[in-house]
Amino acid sequence: MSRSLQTDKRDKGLLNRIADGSIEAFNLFYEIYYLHLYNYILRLVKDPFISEEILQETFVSVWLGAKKFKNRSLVKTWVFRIAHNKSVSWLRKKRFLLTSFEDNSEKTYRAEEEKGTEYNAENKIFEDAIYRAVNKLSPKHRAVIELSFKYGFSYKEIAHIMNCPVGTVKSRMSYAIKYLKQDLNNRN
Amino acid sequence: MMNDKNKLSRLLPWYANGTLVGKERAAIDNCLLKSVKMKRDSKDIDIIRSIVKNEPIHYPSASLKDRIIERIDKGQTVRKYKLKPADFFGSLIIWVSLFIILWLVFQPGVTIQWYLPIDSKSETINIYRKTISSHNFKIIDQISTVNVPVQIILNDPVLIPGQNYIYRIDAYDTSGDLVYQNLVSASTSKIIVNQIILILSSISLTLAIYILVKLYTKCGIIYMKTNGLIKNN
Repeated sequence: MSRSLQTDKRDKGLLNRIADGSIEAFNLFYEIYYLHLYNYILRLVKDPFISEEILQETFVSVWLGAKKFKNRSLVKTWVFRIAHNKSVSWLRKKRFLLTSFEDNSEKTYRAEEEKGTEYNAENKIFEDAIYRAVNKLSPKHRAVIELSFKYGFSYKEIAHIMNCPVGTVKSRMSYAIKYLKQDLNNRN
Repeated sequence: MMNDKNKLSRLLPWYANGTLVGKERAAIDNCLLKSVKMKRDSKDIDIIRSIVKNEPIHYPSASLKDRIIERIDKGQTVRKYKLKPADFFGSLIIWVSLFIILWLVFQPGVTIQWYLPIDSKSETINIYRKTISSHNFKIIDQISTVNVPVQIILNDPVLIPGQNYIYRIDAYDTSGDLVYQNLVSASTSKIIVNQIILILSSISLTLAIYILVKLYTKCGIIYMKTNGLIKNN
């Protein structure tokens, strides 16, 4: 059995217990996913306060919807789909969905643990340039990049999370990659 | 050929994250051996991927989990309830059964008694019914017995409220000759209050039974948990 299937079996077990009202299982589920989800939401909505609100709503939905989970997808895909829908719905409310915008809230991000590896200055500049370029993408393009590169989802899973056809996922990815390369070339 | 290459290059991000399998993966492996551009694209994607993957991790506030648990604790009592098919059909069966029982016990229709002459020697008894306005009697019961009872009781529960009915009893002897006949009129209550009370009573009793079953199940689970009979989550 592959690792992702083993993980999914564990998650489904937790979901079943959550459906029966187990707070202990919910705690475990929270510990497994909160960091991934928070960072994903934060990359989309770019506001730590709103991200926490959306994360809260996501976990409440998991609690209320655990019984409804139909085994049509992996639990990880299902929970990301909830987080994605809530983020997009917030973005839609704020009319930010169709416009890309500069990340102004970077400074407000909490100081967090950086990776222990040492970077040389040139690498750091290059990485920062990529981060900034990714942040300039619209949420729907950024979501594809994040889901694929950071969280390792297949294109079919991303299509399920984003509730769009596979072809759209591929197009968005192509556009995002093209944009990132172009942006980097312009900087160089 | 060019079109195929474009299609394959669109899959490179998933080749890079390791989720591409089977024919698609093999096709890209093959293409990477031949195409320099594809190799370059793949390298670029690898770089972008590794940078995105190593983006700094942000942490939500420490109190977030407590806030969620608090909401859930409060919300446990207001968890959205959806009627399950089993609950619906179970309740429906209980309601129909109760309704029939109550109907039979309280009999909103009419009950009529006849006393046959002892020397009538009747063997077959036909009972007919008609409303005042109609002309023809319709047979509603036929009693055929060797030991003809002296007293005959007829329960006619399914009747229209506020209607007058005429009942006729015909008794025949063994040769088929009419030996006794009698007409009786009866009317049902004009007010349908009895029927409404019956329906409401059956509904409220169904609800009471449903709540009791749910409560009993819940109490049973709590009892089993406190006594260690089942695992406490």
